[in-house]
Amino acid sequence: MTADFGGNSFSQKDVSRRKVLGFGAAAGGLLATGGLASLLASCSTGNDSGVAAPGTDFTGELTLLLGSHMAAVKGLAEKYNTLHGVLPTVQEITTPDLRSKLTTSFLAKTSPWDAAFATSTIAQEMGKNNWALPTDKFLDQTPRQNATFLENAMAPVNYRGNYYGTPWSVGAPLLHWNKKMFEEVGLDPEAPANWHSTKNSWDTFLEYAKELTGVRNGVQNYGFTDAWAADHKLYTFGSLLQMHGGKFLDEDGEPVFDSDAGEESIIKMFDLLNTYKVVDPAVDTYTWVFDASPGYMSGNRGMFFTWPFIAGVAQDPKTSSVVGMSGVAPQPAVDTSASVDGSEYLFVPKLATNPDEGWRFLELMSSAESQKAIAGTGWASIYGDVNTDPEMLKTFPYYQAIADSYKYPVDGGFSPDRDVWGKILGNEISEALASKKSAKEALSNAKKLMLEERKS
Amino acid sequence: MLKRSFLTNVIIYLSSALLVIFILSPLYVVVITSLQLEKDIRSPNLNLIPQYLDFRHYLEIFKPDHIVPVLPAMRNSLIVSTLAALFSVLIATPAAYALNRMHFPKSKMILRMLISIYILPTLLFIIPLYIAWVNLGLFDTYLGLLILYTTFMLPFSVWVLGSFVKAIPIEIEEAAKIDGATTNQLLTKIMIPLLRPGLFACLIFSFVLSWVEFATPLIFTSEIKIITVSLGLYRSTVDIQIGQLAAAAVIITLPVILITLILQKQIQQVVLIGADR
Amino acid sequence: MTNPRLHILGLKKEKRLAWLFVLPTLTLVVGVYAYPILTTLVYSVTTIDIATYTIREFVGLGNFQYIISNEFFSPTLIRTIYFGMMVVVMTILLAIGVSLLININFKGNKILKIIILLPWAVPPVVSGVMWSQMFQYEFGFINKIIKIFGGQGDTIWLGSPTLALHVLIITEIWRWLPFATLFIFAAMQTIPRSVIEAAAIDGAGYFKTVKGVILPIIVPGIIPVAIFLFVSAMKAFDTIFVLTAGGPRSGTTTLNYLVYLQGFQQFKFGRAAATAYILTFVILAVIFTMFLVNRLLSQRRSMNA
Repeated sequence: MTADFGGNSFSQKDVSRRKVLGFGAAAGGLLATGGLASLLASCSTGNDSGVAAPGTDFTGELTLLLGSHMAAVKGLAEKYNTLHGVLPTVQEITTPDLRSKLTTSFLAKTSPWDAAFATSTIAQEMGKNNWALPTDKFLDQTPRQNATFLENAMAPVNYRGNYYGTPWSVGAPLLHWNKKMFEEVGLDPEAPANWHSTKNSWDTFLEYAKELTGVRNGVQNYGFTDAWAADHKLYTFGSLLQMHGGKFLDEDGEPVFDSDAGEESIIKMFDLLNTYKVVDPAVDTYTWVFDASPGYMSGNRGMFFTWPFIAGVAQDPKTSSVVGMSGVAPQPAVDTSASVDGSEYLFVPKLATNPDEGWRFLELMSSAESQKAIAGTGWASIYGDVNTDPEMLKTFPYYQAIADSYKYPVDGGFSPDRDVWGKILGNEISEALASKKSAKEALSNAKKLMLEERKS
Repeated sequence: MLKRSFLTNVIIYLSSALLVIFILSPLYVVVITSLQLEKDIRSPNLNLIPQYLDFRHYLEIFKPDHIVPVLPAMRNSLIVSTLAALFSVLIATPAAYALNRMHFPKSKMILRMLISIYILPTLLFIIPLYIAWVNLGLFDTYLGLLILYTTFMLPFSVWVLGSFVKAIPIEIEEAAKIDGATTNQLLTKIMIPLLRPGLFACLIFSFVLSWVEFATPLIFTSEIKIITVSLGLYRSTVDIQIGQLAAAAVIITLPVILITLILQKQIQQVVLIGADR
Repeated sequence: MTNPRLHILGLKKEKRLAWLFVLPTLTLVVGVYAYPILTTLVYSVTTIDIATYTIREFVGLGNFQYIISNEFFSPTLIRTIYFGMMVVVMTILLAIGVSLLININFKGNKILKIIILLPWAVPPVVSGVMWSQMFQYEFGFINKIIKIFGGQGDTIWLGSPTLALHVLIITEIWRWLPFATLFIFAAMQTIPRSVIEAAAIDGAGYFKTVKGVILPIIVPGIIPVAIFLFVSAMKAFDTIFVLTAGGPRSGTTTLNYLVYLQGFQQFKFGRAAATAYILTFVILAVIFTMFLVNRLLSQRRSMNA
């Protein structure tokens, strides 16, 4: 008895030939619709970058695409309604799904949203593909009117001289530490506060991590935790890279991370993980902050490189066992302290149906009042004076740390293809951390693959 | 009657125990996780045997202003899966009968084509389909989803129903024809009742396959909330809510498990009949 | 095995009715599949500019060449086939074992039959969550149980590419065990109960009976199951997406997942299409091999008989 799937015996050749031929006629009709026709008929058009000026064509409809963590911005919807009589529809999305959602929509030549959020890694891609309207005029008209506007946070969205987003919150990873654990092992709980301004404090950081690692109360504690899966490790790698005076890309956007600085950075990460074993051993499986945070929140990790807002989460007794014990400061230094900008932006899609409503919402979002409200929820605002207001600092002392951290390099090598080469580089560094390659090999292979990608 | 040796019994019950542990432990883990406090879930305090049971996660996920719309999503999934199952049976049954019992050219070719479609990696087709759907106005619509679900399941449905059709001895139909039955009578009064277990099987399989779909609704919906897609949102609120994620996972799995439990006898019978040719 | 066809009407009328019956199926299948198949065939020989969604240039077999000569291709291909074959072999072996077990009359037999069906009811996304919790290195149950039995219990299961792949294999085995068991159990039903019972009582002769009597009967019925399992493993996506996202270090990236990465992360549609068709070819090749092996085995059987 031969296998029988509803036919009789099964011939490979039959299938493929008939499959293709049999469909000819029926498919013809479908070719007329959508994609394939335009695909075959048209040719690539050039990139027209006229600088968009917010206008006054208010249609009474507004749809926003926000991250599900952006409750602060969502809260502005009511305000917008009160001011302008238009209630925005809000669609929420998770950060990992953002790029896919935006791209699939713009590919189909549609944008359901009039203002959408973009992370620092994809903003330039939106600009390059002509999917985002330039925000230069808007920036001059609104945020830059405030002298304390954090212009430093605009670098990630600058593509070929134009800006493609306006920030709703700024921030870069900071050092968080468990003061109580420091005391328990006899370390100075305030020491990390000055590491950023002390040359070669990384060595001290390493020593402290060694002291903090050990078994306490029957639980294995580690001096340090982080999130190093995929391309998330580039925050720490990028920080180290710049601490050694290196860069991801040069002025022409060509990769230069395969320098001695790059090699040194990988070696330092390798040492943390393998030589001294002071970091959470599963660090390479943590894809983002919330994979690594439980360890810190349960009081079993001494130090943590991550977003500023974690300081706020550490104060929440519902999820944190380290309430009142967590300190925040800019990251340690080698030649200098450094970090990688993780600010988040909103932009008006080129294909938006109500762009002026979108611009108007961005205006609202950038107002001093709104920024104050946003800062009041634990997300640093885009204006220095809002962040360092004494009242604000009382509730959120780490805003000072954020302001300080922007005095140091915060370049993440942002380019239109950052998402693609970021993953390549992240993978290669993983290989090095797993001792499958030397640091040098990993970096040069990453560069090679990245350039190959760019050519294809 | 001879009794089994003690050793044999030990082996039998030990194997059964291991099997049960293998099958049930992931389910057990998820249920336990949904009943523990969030701060204990990813901490050394999580025990194999829980010290307490806390139902707050279940209360939380059903709150109306929660980021993840569990109830609307369940309702949508239910509607779409039921309709897809119905359409599947409606469309596949005549096709299965025609392709396996009736005389017409190219029936074999069509059957083989359906099978080979099943082999293709449908993931790839989602891109051009997505663009076509947007252009046709089917994106983010119930109809658009239904067309996709039903079509993706058709090869499988036709195959399942086909084996049931083939299992019905042709003598019955020939006898009916000799007795002077019209086509209409043959089909409605004889074939359909005989095919009932098969229709039933196809309904169940189609419902379950639609219920668990993930990649398709992920791309093809936006406002319409489908429960498997909504599950992902728990990983992106201001902190991962593993407890709520587990509770939602239990809620998602419950309907299908209940169906399986209630209908387990029928399901087993169905496979026996279908495989017995 | 012949499939008798019926003449219920005059030939012409019957043809018309048959076409009517098949029309909805054909319309849907052609409508929903033809367009993407053609489009993706075009993609596979071009590069697409995603800014404008137009064809940038025709590259003939360039995409295929790029993929096959890429340093990641062979590992991914081997990984995919290993993954598929492991799922097929282990699931079938387990299913045979389970079928034999539930065939025996013992207390609790009925409950066991019900429990076996459960994994089929669990959506793959949920199962991905469940298994990642189980294998979580610090708080997961697997490591906790290992610690109870005196082991170290600190393996980072999802941190090593090889281990993660095997966790994935276990997940898929778990998922498809009900289906495989049902079918093999059904195939076993053609053997008289008394034969199996007698063998069970006999003890030592049991495995001889299994090998000599039961297996030869069900082996032919295994091929469709094997093919279905292999194709399902090849199409696995939801679980990988939720469990490991293809990691760590591409450890769980199968060819199908690679199609997703190239299509929806890199947005290189040409390449994704080419990879998908390479995967299709691989699936067909493996299925073809299974048929060949089956034919050889049945020839040998009929020679021995």
